[in-house]
Amino acid sequence: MNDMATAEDILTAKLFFGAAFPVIQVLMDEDPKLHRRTEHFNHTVQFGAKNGEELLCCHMIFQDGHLDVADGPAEKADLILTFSAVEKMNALLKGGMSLPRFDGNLTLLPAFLSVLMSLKIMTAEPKNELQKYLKVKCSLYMICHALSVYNKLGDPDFHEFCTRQPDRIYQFRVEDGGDPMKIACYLRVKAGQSKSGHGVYEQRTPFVLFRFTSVDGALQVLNKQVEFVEGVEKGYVETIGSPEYACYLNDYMTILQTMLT
Amino acid sequence: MAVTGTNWTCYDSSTMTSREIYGRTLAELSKTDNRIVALTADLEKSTALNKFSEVFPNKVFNVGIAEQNLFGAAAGMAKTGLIPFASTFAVFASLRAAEQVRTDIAYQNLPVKIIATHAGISFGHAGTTHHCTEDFAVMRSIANMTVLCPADGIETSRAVRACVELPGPVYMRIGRGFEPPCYESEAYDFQIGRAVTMREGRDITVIACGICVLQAINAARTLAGEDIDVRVVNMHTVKPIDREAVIAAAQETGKVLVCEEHNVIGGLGDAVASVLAEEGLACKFHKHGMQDVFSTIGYAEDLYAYYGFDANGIADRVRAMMGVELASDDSWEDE
Repeated sequence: MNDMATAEDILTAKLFFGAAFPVIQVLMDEDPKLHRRTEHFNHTVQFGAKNGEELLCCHMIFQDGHLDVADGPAEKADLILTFSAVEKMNALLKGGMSLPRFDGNLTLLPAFLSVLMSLKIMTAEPKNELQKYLKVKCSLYMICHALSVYNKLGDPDFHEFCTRQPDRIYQFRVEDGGDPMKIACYLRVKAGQSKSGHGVYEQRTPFVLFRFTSVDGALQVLNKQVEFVEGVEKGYVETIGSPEYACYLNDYMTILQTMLT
Repeated sequence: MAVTGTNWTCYDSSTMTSREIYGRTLAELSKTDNRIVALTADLEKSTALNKFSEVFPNKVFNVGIAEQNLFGAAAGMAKTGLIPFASTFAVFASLRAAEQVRTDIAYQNLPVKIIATHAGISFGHAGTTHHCTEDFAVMRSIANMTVLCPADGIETSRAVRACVELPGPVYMRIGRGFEPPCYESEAYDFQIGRAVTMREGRDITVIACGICVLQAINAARTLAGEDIDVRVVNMHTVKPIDREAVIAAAQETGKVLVCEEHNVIGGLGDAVASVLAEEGLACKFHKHGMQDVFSTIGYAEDLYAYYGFDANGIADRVRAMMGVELASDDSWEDE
């Protein structure tokens, strides 16, 4: 029998499934190399790990350049990757080394691995302007996703934080080169419910707006090359709205970032 | 400069807070005007007078925790030809020391400038005892008193400069600081008693003061996307009110919404309503403020949202006056 995963490992895995994997869509859309590799990759891939007798997994449906990520096993997967333990799966997703068992059509493996490896952008040093932009965009999208998933998974503290709030928007925006909406995403919370979205939420003014003044500045803050407060002092980021809630959310973002990188 | 303490934040306080800008402006004015002195009731730092005392330590007088004495002493100094700026929390200036403000200062029409900080519900977590939603009502009813409520730090600077030359007493209401700016610079026409149109509009006019001005502007931006054209008027002078701006609002847009961080009784809303009634102007009208209740306790932004003083609350109120309902958004699936 396999060792059972800790609650934190399971949470981390679910955050990867729910928050990191959907971000691959950004890379499929905007990284020309990955776009070419995936535009005709019309397959379903199951990805998961054993946890005792159970299987903790999700499946990814690629169809004409579009990716859907769904919980649980696929009805009919073309390729299946199964790690012997959740901890090992998480290690790979955080950039470490770990090998799963492969089943199904193994000729799909190179293409899928290139998809999976594209997530390395979150931890690797960007080499050019496109990579910088994609890293910032993916990081912010992932943080928004992760916050919403974290609430939906029922983390007691964060769920209470969301439960105590009326309809509120936490908006993230990166300006760059005169484009005020270079990157935009948001977290909406309302009485315990949450949603992460792309772009600017139009119906309500944000309760807190995290406004990054450039991709480079955002990168330094998100990479923790500068502390958040230092980022404010240097003009890389400003928070408009409730400073107290900006601080709370920043704490949760730090927790999630630590879990996912 | 990062600020720590009870008002945790990482904003640049030197460019954002009305209080800080007040202290700095006062120091600047005092360099060329020897009549200017400052008084505090043991709140030198909280009312940002330390910016002034750093430059002119001999022109700052701390009377201790004795607000009545603060205004009595300010009146005495004014009698000698000085222009005293007396700062304390709004709740103490307008309620605890109301008699001294009325009898010692206003009755003699002395040029004491009362800088009332942490007004409205901006003191959030400090609690209801330290909130102040009655000061307009008190100060408006005191003869000779000019009542100002700048929209941000930039306008506070303009107002401080303008009130030096005003012969009588002035009550200037400002927040706890950290209110985001709604002006980009001081390059605009500020005159005591003359409202500023922040945004033109034809469907409805929002007349606001203090923190509600920026929120009304933000609400107007959101509503523009719904084809509602909102005029926003910054009524920074609550007394004497700009009658022309009120009349124009009623005649040209037909709907007037007044937004203030104050009880709806006795505040800006009532001042606007008086003008409308006296002019015999019929229009759809609503006073958006504290609905004759004591405020609850929480962070300032929580309270602003709770009482509808934020952009969303103002937008909702405008929609209600326009008879428009916002389409509900019940989608909770992550994108």
